[in-house]
Amino acid sequence: MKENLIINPITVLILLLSAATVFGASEAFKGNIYNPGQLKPVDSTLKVKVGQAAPDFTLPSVSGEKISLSQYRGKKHVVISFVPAAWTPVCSDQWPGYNIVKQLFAENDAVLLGITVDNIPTLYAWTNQMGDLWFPVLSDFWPHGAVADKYGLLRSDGVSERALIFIDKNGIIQDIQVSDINVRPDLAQCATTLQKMNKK
Amino acid sequence: MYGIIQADERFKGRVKLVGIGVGNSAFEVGYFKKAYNIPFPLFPDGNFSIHKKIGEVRTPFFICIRINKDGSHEVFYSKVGGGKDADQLLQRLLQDSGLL
Repeated sequence: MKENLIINPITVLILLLSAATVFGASEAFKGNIYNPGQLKPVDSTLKVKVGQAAPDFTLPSVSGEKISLSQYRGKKHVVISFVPAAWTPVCSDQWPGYNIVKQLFAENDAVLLGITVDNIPTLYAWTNQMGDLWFPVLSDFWPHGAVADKYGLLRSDGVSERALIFIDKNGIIQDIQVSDINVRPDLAQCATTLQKMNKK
Repeated sequence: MYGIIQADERFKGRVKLVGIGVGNSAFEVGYFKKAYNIPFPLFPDGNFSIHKKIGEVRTPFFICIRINKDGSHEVFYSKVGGGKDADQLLQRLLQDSGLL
């Protein structure tokens, strides 16, 4: 190897990239991300549990239509991704990552619904920076955080937890993953749960 | 960029391209590699340890290293952004490396 180096100098190009996520660190978001610092990992008490029917809701989406959880009943599994706030580092990383695993949702006959307590104009501007998200982005702005609160995911400062709720085609909650708000959940856990839910 | 390197006998085997997934787990990097048919090695940096050492730069970020005949090495390019034209960027990097 040493001899090879002497004869043929080698150039190494290292590319630091955001494979699935880390849009918050990407050039696309430069100067637009507000860092709230370290927050209390979890700051609410769940009001739902695995095995119960998921509370229904209807929320406006960035695309203009209203989306109800019940419209997927009998048709698709649903994963709800609650993220705390637009224009913050971890949240700006999390949703673009789901673009990479779109096929995983399709393979497991599931849809994803993204929800924050931000209003539609804010969500519009924020998600535009992410490129084309394939899943509906819903605003739980008014009454403020009502859906997050219904699930017991509204924090004391008015934002939601970082949580994934897995709901099967019968509308039954199959898994609840409330993450440390400061940390983006690994897609591996989401993938495993999706596959498990679809096999039931 | 990888295709150009591999297709040119002047560079094939002499220019290596590796990617580091900042903040990405092994699963995420693996899924990304498969989904986008990435032919070169990708490594996870789930705990941001490499990212921190480099200075928490924004992505995409290119670092180019020349390994000299005596085994020493030097960084000759370190910059954020992939450029709008990958071919143009590669030409520049190859020129700076001394291979062109």
